[in-house]
Amino acid sequence: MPQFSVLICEGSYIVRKGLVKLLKETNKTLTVREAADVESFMSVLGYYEPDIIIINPDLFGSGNKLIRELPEKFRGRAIALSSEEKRENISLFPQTLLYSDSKSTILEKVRKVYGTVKGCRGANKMRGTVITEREKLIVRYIALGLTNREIAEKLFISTHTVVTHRKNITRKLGIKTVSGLTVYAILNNLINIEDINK
Amino acid sequence: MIFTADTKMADLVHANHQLLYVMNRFGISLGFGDKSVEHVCEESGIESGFFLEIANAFHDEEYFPQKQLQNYSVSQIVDYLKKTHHFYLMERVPEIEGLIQIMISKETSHKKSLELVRSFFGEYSDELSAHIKHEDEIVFPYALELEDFCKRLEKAGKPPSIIRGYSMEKFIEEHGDLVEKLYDLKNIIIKYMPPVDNHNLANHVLFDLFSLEKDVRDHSRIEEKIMVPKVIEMEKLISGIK
Repeated sequence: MPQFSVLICEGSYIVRKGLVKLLKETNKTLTVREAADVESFMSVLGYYEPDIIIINPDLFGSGNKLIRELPEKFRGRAIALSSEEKRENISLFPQTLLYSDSKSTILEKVRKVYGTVKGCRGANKMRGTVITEREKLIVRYIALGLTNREIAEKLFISTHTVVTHRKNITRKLGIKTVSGLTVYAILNNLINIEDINK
Repeated sequence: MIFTADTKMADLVHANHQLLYVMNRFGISLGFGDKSVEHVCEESGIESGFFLEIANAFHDEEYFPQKQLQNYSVSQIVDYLKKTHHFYLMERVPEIEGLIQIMISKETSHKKSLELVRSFFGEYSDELSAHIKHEDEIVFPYALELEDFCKRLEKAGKPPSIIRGYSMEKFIEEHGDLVEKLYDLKNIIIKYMPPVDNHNLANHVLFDLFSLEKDVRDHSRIEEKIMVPKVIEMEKLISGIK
């Protein structure tokens, strides 16, 4: 199941919480972060990369450069949240949620943006959860204790590519640690227990 | 839901039964009838305000301890955290190990796979022990020393002694993800293990792993939200003097 992450920046506590609840209701795998002001919003963005941002442009005050940069940076993935239709800066955003919108309208608007995000993520990431032969080989090397660089040398690929493979393996299998992958490799006969101690 | 002194203790358990662990660590036993949190705490000789801060932070991820926090001493916080550590190492981990052991002894066809699970959990338990040892031996003494120092400062205004080379900044940096292996182990059992003979036991192990994972996560959050800010405040105070 694809996991979506949303960051909401809205000053009104009631509106923010209400939106969080509504979004979670419809998508259980959603992770939502919240910010009540620009400062905390920026600090969350410092370490967290949401798929979608929903922000109230009013918080940024007029003449703030940021508010013009954000829709640009998040391209189709930024949504404005506003008390009225005619507020400053709203037109910068591809989609606007209004306080007066009904539940179904909000969901429809958010869903449209979800659609864009899915498209961006590309077909590759969404493809099945079975690991490929190549990935199996890499799991085998990982279980044998090889480093990324060693794996790269053996397969004549860059370490960067090895890292990408590892990320895909972890996502597909739901196993993050080397020892976890080792157990997986043994259970699936990719290696023998005796191989490990060599 | 935020718990207050008037909330019935029983309602806490109904709201989130993982809180039973917290009560356990405070030495609160069951059978509280309709008594309020305040009442039960009083009977058990616990400061109800402190209990509530911990219970709320544990229960609600978004709960952020308020100013009342300053009323609690580091030694109180450390005492609670240490009890939690003790509980993991002396009760939870052995319990799960025991269950896996029983599973192995009852298994006929896939003993070897279960042995793998056991050794993987063993690795996790080593990791957890090392983590706990580090906190018990370095982080907590550091926090206590700081508190002690601040107290003496208030009384006599003595010049700062040397505080050993540690800081909360370092703690935050190295306070790693303690649940990665548990997450892996759950998936291995759920998705990749061959079917074992005793389903019920396998479920028990899984329930325990889910619950331990949640407990450890909540515990880490309490360290980060309650202990860390408190200590950082003292660090600031001291660096101000120097």
